[in-house]
Amino acid sequence: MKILSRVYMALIFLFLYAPLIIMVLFSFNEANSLSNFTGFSLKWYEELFQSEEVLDVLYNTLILALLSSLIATVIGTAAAVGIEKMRTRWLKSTVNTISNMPMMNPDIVTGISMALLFAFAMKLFNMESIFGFWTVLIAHVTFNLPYVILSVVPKIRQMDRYLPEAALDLGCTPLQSFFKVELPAILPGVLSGFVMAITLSLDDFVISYFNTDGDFQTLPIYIFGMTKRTVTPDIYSLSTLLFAGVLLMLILSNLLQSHAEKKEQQRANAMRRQARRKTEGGRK
Amino acid sequence: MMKKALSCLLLLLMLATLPGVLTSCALVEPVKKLYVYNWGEYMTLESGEDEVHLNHEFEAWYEETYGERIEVVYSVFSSNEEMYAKLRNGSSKIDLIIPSEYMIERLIKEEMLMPLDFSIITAYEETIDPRFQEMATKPYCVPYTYGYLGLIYDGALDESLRDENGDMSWRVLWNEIPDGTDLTDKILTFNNSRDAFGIAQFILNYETALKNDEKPGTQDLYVNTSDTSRWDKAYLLLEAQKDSLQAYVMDEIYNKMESGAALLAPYYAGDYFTMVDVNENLSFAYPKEGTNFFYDAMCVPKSAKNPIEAQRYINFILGGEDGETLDAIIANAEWVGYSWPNMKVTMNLDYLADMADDEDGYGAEALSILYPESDHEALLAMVEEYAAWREEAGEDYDPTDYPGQQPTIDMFTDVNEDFVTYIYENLDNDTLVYANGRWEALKLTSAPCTEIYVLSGVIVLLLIAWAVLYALTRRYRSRYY
Amino acid sequence: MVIQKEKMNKKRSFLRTAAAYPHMVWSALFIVAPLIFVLYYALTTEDANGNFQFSWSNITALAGENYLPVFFRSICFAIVATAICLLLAYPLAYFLSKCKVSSQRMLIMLVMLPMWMNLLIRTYSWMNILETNGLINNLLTTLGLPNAKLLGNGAAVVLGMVYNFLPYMIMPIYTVMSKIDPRYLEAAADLGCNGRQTMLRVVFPLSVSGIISGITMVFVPSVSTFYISQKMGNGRFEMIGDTIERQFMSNYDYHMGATLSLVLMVLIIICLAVMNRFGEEDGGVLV
Repeated sequence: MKILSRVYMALIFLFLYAPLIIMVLFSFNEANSLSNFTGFSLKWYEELFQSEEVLDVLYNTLILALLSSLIATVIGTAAAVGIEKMRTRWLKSTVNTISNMPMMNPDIVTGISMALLFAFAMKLFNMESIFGFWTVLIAHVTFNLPYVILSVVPKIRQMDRYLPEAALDLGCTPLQSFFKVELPAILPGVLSGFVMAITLSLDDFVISYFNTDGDFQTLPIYIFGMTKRTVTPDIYSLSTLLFAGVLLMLILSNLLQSHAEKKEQQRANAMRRQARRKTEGGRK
Repeated sequence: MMKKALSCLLLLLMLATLPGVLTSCALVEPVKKLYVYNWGEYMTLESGEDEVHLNHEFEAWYEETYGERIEVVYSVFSSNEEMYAKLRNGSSKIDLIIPSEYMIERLIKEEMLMPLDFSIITAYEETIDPRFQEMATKPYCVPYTYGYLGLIYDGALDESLRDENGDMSWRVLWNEIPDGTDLTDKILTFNNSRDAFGIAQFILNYETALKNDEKPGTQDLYVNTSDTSRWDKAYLLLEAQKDSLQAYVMDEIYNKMESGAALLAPYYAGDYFTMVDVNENLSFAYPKEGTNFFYDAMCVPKSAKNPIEAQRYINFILGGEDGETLDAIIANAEWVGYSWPNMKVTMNLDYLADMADDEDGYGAEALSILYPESDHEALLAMVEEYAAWREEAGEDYDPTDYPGQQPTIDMFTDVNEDFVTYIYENLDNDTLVYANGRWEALKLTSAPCTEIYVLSGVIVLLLIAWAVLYALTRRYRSRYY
Repeated sequence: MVIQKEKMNKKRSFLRTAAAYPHMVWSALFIVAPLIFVLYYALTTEDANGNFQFSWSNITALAGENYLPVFFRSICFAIVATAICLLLAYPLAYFLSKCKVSSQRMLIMLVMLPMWMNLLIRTYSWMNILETNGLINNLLTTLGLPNAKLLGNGAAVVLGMVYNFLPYMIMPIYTVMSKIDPRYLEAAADLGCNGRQTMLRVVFPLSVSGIISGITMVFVPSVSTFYISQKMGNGRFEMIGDTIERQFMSNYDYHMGATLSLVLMVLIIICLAVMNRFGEEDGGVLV
């Protein structure tokens, strides 16, 4: 049974990783081919760093992801605090349902609904094109919001609800109490929401695709354009680099985490020992 | 904790990119931007050594000529219809577009184009082929390239595809191969309504003419018809084609033909050269039923923010007022591979010789493929003579020293009368709606996938059976507890 | 003093709910308003001058012979893909939850890692593997075997969907499974259940909520996808997502596109409601 489960897991992981392995392999291909491996070369990596266009696109994508998740985190955290405090039940559930919409709706519906809004606004005010960075930013913030809220709300519920009251009674202004008492308590939720938002924003294609003009391109849109013509291996090398970056980050954070856990455990052990010693000392 | 560490890293990354944002915000960019919207693979934009980036050339030329900096923002479309949608919805800033003739007619009719100011496009009179100067669309556009549709195929199939007279028919795209070879799933066709319908319509025109004992090509009953029953006939033909096709493609064709994933496809003649550069097994032929003559032309939409600059761009593409940018334009012409309405390009023996060169160019067939309407045999003889002279003169030759004959425009203008062509005209609104509806219907029908339907049916049945069983056992159990 | 404190409390709680206002404004502007526009575009048509007129014609066009099969096809493909995902993911999630706790974290990371790669690139990579002269066929040729047609059929589309959305199925099932108290399993064994019975009577009922959310997380993107079917199916199996995209990107028919999206949205909401109902009932009775 154990062997069977091992084999099964290995097969699934092979399935999940096959295309990625292919991608990494062919990014080192000498020829401009994605099916015949002719020889090892770093030529596509060189090409990548020479291509102004690709670097521009990469820059756009990163800026968009950071900015949109930052805005979403700020609005979303505030919203989570506010929603948790709401007394009116129907209001609370309405706000919740609405803010979960982008999560439930298929991407394509969210994308085109926003495109329709912007198109109509343009028509109404007789403006020239507003599509571009700002519309994509708005769209990204919108679909990031529910994920931020979802990761903050449980932390608020976990927090001792008398904590802010105590802070207020001790003379904090509401703002002070939020920043000095509550925020540290819910910070893990806020951060995980932020990371989630960045991930989603980096990966999004459909929603950006419907809300941009030809000028502002993110990486997925650029790749989409390429897959319509011919994909050159420099995109594979870019993906490999991004992938390696993510992998490195994850491994690093994993190491940090296990390190921190070990430390925590050591501290807990030490404290336990100390306590034992104290009680033992008392007995003596 | 893991996420904490992750986000710390991300924050660092953010701090690293911040200065870039600040500087790009602080320095309000004084550079004017010109938005050019063109077909994919339709302009040389290579920034390596010995390569030409036409837009960079333009930026340099512009600064030199007008003393102002400008930046070209270039984006591409893969069909006229896609371009139309983008232009109509106004989501993009566009100063210059290069659509095909029938789309230009439509845009003119819908009053979306700006009449051009030929006092800016000073090179027009001298460079544009007189045939194109007479076009009805003249005040709105300046032709960039022209060409014909043809069949691109794997060279090994050459004998199988030709009939007893050595001609090729569009019918091969229906897997009706003269020697009975089966090419199911190796055939591609156009993923845009006009060209896909066009091919069916050429066949219908040809077959009707044969039935009526007329000379094919004298009468167009189908291509620009407003008779819906004739569109239905073409539709039925396309529907019958569906099972032999691998895919409907536009720019995806490069990958599929270059890699050999598909063996037979109709496409624009000029693009054949791009493909044969990568896969030298490919061949090209014009089918006997006749083909489409198209031209793609540069137009300035009414909504353009920089019309003056756009027209200067057009002038640059024509070679500039005194032909000062001609070298870049010829390099572009050789890279793109289409046929050029620019006389300064086509009369240039270096261009012709480069195209017909066996090693660096595309061999002798290049001229007959690109200029099938011309007297290409005479042209080829002339070009070969020139190439020999050039070889002898060595590297520092001066083309003006060439003592031999120069080509004339008469050699290009419709010498080959057997070559049948049709021009797509803009359809009236009702026909357009009807044709689009037929195209939509064609796309919506799918290849057979019965196994998926059956499987999903079984899954749903199983689910229902399970639910019923569950409800029953629950009721049964609840009796006991 | 008491009154003052009450006043202050009121003020405080007002301040706290006010924190949600920016979000509420944002949602109204960018979630509710766009959906209203979808409805508005679906119920209007545009005349030659660009004026909108109220009309049912989009809705009636929908009922015609053209579009219904597309919806039907999309749903069938999505059902098959979801079922395969479930079959693949369930044992995996179970095995994962049985692993050592320290390696579980690592393995889950490995499950999620491919999601960091762009969907388009992953799909394109599959195309290279499956193509007529792709990797598998090259391999077959060198082995002297006949080539197989792997791309451009229904199975390839399903494969694309399964590959891209499988982690969405694994994650929720794993989360639920890892929370099952091992003492339940011990109790079941003590009470005389064999392995199969434990699985069927204890583990499965306890993981239903994970299955339900996994199914919705796979079904929704599968039914609305437009890239995967175009690439893996060579554009021969038009899905509803492809149709919507074409209305916007090349047909310039926003109204039809809006109508199709509206129907898609309603369809998915119905599916979600049914699924939730299903989950609640089962979960409520079984747990």
